[in-house]
Amino acid sequence: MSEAAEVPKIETHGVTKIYADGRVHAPSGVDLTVSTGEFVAVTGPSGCGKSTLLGLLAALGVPTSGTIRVGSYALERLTDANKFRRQEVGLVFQFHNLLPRHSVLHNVEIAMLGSTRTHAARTGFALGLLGDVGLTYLAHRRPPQLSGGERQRVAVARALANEPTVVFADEPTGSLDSRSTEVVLEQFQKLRTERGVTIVMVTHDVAVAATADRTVHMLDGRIAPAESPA
Amino acid sequence: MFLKAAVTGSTVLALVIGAIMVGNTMLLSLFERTREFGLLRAIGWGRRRVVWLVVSESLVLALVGSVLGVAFSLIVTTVLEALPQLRGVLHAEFTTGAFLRGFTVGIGMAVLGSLYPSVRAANLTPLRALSNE
Repeated sequence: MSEAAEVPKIETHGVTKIYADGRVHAPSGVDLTVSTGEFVAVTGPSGCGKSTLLGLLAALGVPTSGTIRVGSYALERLTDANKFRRQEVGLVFQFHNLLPRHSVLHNVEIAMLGSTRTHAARTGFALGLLGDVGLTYLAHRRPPQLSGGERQRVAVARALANEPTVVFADEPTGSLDSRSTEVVLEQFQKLRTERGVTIVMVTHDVAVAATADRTVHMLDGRIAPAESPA
Repeated sequence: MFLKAAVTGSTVLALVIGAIMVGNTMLLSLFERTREFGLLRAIGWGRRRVVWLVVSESLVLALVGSVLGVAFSLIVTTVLEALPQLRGVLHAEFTTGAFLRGFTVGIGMAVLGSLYPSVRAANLTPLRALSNE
């Protein structure tokens, strides 16, 4: 393990989310530590709370109890969750969630609208990111004109628009064929090695999880005791 | 006197219906675009920016609608005035003030009608909006 990887980037203690009906507790009392620059896969059956946990780590929701720290941010004391997400977090979803009426370029730029970059700087940076994922030539197309793999690569580019320190990916390869899956996973590996980005990826695919540094398995809202090194 | 009251009443009614229709259209658009707004919130857009997005979209629609409405009213009034049955009854006066009032009220109604949908869009919880299929 590298020196940088010994600094915890994410730490959770007893994170629990109880839904409105009060019956479902998922996640339930989750303690998780992820080092800086680490690539962690979270696996588990449907409904075990892995996507909810990811959402809580990204400050997309608030846990019922427990504490979450991401970098220097204690999420339970967060006063501006938007700023946190804009500055620290990149998100990749299973269904890319690109805006269908906007161009690929604008889909990447839109993530930077709250930043201090000028319009020209935003466009230049977005084109650079599209170049990194090999899609510059598609910059002016619209998402419906792209294949599933290409859309997901655009989503990866958008996730990097604000130079996040951590990327949360929820089933990023869930709707992709094997070739596109390979390409997206290569992007994640590049993120980690070239930019030192910490990655937490939820997946139900064992082969995909095996590409991570470490796999955390969740069951019934809890992290299963044995964590297997990849 | 009666005619003036009837015209005023129908104008107010048209404005209220207009505002409700704008609000309804924007609400329907909001429901269709729940994931989109959820995504914008998820990637760090603040509430004020989302409110402005929805209001500005309705402003653009209102501008286009008002221009078309003014043009349409000119054509319809001219046609009606030329009808033999209405000759001597309808005397249209195309004053700048009347058009400006119509234009301003049209845009004002659109902004009013979009306020509730915009606040609803801004208050969407990203996690819930994104899980909305």
